[in-house]
Amino acid sequence: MTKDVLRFEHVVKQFEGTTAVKDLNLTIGDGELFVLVGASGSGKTTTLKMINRLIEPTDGNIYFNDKRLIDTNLRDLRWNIGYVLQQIALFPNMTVAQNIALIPQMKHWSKEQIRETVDEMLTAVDLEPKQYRDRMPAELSGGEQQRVGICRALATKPPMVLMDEPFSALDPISRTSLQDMVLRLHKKMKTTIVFVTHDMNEAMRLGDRIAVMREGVLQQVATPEEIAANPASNFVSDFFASAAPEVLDTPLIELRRFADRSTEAGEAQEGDPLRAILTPLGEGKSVTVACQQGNFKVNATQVMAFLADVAKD
Amino acid sequence: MQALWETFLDQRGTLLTKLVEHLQLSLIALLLALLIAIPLGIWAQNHDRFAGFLLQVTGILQTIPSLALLGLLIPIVGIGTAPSIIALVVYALLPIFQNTYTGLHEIDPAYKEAEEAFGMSKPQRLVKVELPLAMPVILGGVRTAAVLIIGTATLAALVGGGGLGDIIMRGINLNDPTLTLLGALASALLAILFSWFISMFSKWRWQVSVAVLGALVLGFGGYATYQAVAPKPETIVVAGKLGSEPEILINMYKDLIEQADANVNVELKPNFGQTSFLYSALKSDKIDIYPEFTGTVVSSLLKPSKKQAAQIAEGQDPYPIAESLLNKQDLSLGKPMAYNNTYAVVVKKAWAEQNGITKISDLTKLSTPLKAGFDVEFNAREDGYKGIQSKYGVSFTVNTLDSSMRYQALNRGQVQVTDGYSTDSQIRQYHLLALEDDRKLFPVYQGAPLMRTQFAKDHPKLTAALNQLGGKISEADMQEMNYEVNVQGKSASAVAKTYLTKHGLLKEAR
Repeated sequence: MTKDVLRFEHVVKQFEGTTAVKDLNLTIGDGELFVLVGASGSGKTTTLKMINRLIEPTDGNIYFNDKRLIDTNLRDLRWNIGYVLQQIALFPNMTVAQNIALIPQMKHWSKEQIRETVDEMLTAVDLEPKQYRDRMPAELSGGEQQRVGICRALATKPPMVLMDEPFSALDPISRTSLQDMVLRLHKKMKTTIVFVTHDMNEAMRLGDRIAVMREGVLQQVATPEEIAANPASNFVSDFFASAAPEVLDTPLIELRRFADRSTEAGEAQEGDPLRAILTPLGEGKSVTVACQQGNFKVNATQVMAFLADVAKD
Repeated sequence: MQALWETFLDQRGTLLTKLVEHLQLSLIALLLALLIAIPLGIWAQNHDRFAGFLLQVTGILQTIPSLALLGLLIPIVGIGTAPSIIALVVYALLPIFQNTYTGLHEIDPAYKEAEEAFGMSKPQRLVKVELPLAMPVILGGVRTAAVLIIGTATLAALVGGGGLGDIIMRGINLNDPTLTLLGALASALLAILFSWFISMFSKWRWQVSVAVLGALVLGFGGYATYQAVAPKPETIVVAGKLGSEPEILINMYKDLIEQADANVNVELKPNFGQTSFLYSALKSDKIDIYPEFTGTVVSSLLKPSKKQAAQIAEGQDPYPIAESLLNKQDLSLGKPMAYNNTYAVVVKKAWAEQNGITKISDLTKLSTPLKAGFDVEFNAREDGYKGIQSKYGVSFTVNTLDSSMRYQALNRGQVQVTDGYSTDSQIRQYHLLALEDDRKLFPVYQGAPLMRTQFAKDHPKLTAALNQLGGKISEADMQEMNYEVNVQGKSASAVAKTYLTKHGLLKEAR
């Protein structure tokens, strides 16, 4: 691992008597996709919001590039840390382009530069700029909105981006494709990402390293493989186990790249979970799945190939 | 409907002027209320306890009856547009403040978190996100305020603030319901239009709305500044009480003053209000001249000494007494006109000629008692029917009637005698005769221009011009002129001009 960009030292956060985060010590490396995972009330969101000082710690210190956060100019700090919200919160009075241009504008970028950035960002999240630039947020689907939300956070290419359960309100299909998109963007832009989720599956899928939290206490920080192999506690292993069956909930569209094209009528929908077609597969039949991008036919062997691929991740 | 349309055609000039006045009054009040309530609503966001307090205060202010509020404001800021605008602003504060506060307060906290996380400054948050998001709610409040203001602004007429209320008041005073209806309809229509206009605001992009608002402010501000800065001749304000007679008189004053001094601009305020209101307006410099009656001065405005009161009761001319009382108040009364606008005993002209009757004392000649229809007050007054009985020794078979019915009753022959005022237009309309009060029972009410002594000293030319009316205009002249205005619907200014020209007081081609 390269150098640390973020370091928590004995960080404590108390809210009116209850302790949300207890003596947290944590380092996040440069360019890492770091996932904080835990149930609600685990302190993961509080930990995230202390990074851009939406919440101030009660005790301890957080260092960003070896400088204490409280010694940093608040505005500079926030302009250097992108933020993606669970509620998405695109400003409804602004177009898609105006939303993305928000921080570049505050930084007094030239109009030309802003326009280029907007188009570049939209393209990066698979939204056709010409078609989407001038739309209002209300005209977009949830998944499209969060793509724009990510564009807004990444527009100035900040060294770090915080994502607070960004996909928890989305449908499974959009969630999966957005997860892929985050992985792709991360690979391309090398931005440090701190990602909060309650979904162990999502954590395993995305994280370079995962921090499991419970009731304000850090349980384990490790790569997904290490967590799978050596859970630090019963809690972590249970939490991990709870995630495993969810592979059966994978929408069928995920199988497409392993399957054959088909012109037959669909017997199942692209959004249906994998478990729905287990019976016919078990009987050695293949199943045709109706899909917008073209129907496909999948058999048991191909499903096994998919599972092998998931296990490899 | 026909009558309304005719009144509209007849009054459209006045209507337009009053409409503009009304709009000006309402807009100024609305803008002031916006300038106060919106910043207050914004500021209250971070001061929750104060916000609660402010909501209470604005709520309480709103419960004060508008009429009472105007009355309370007069001693502080005087009369005219100032108290009207203040009262209107007070009423508009609550809806605008409340909606600004709630509109901003109810913005989804997620947006506020986003603003903060993106490092937006407070002004940026307000201008770029929060105000635009709260705009529909704020505009709702502005709309409520505007409708409230336009309706309440009709009350401005009561304190000389002008506007459509003037037309409504005049309709009430002239007992002309179509005129009242016209004023009320115009006010209602204005409110609807305004409300529509503001609802359009919320459909435009907010930058457009701000631009339109800015243009309005600049327009009115510029107009007001132009008016304040532009050189203009001295303006003399001449006001009159309610009704056609004072309106005719002040039009005469205007013609005479402008003939005497071309550099003077006369502003007329007809139907300005009741006696005591005009009197205090004159004393506080709000108006410069108004026609007043000698009888009114000694009976209700000022208190004569016992000796003076006795002289008046004996039938002496009250003019010198009124004049000396007024001088003590630093006021001067010009020369009185000829006519005496007092109680009168009225009979049919044809009947009077038949019986050779011209004076009240002639009634003693008749053998059978006459049927009389008197108004309740006249019937009971010492200087009314009681005085007729004692001073003239004449008795009638009396029916008491409401004052509005008496002329019709006389005209239809239901009664032979009635009471009235000596310059009533009905005397001319129904061919009646006001009998001469030969034993001087009725108090003398002669009209003369009243002004501040200092003003009279500063404007000797004008005083002289107004004194030309001294001894002019008989009761019959006044009856005729009132008839032309009230019944024939001529304009007071035309009637005034015709009289002055006919009597050589006004040179025709100026």
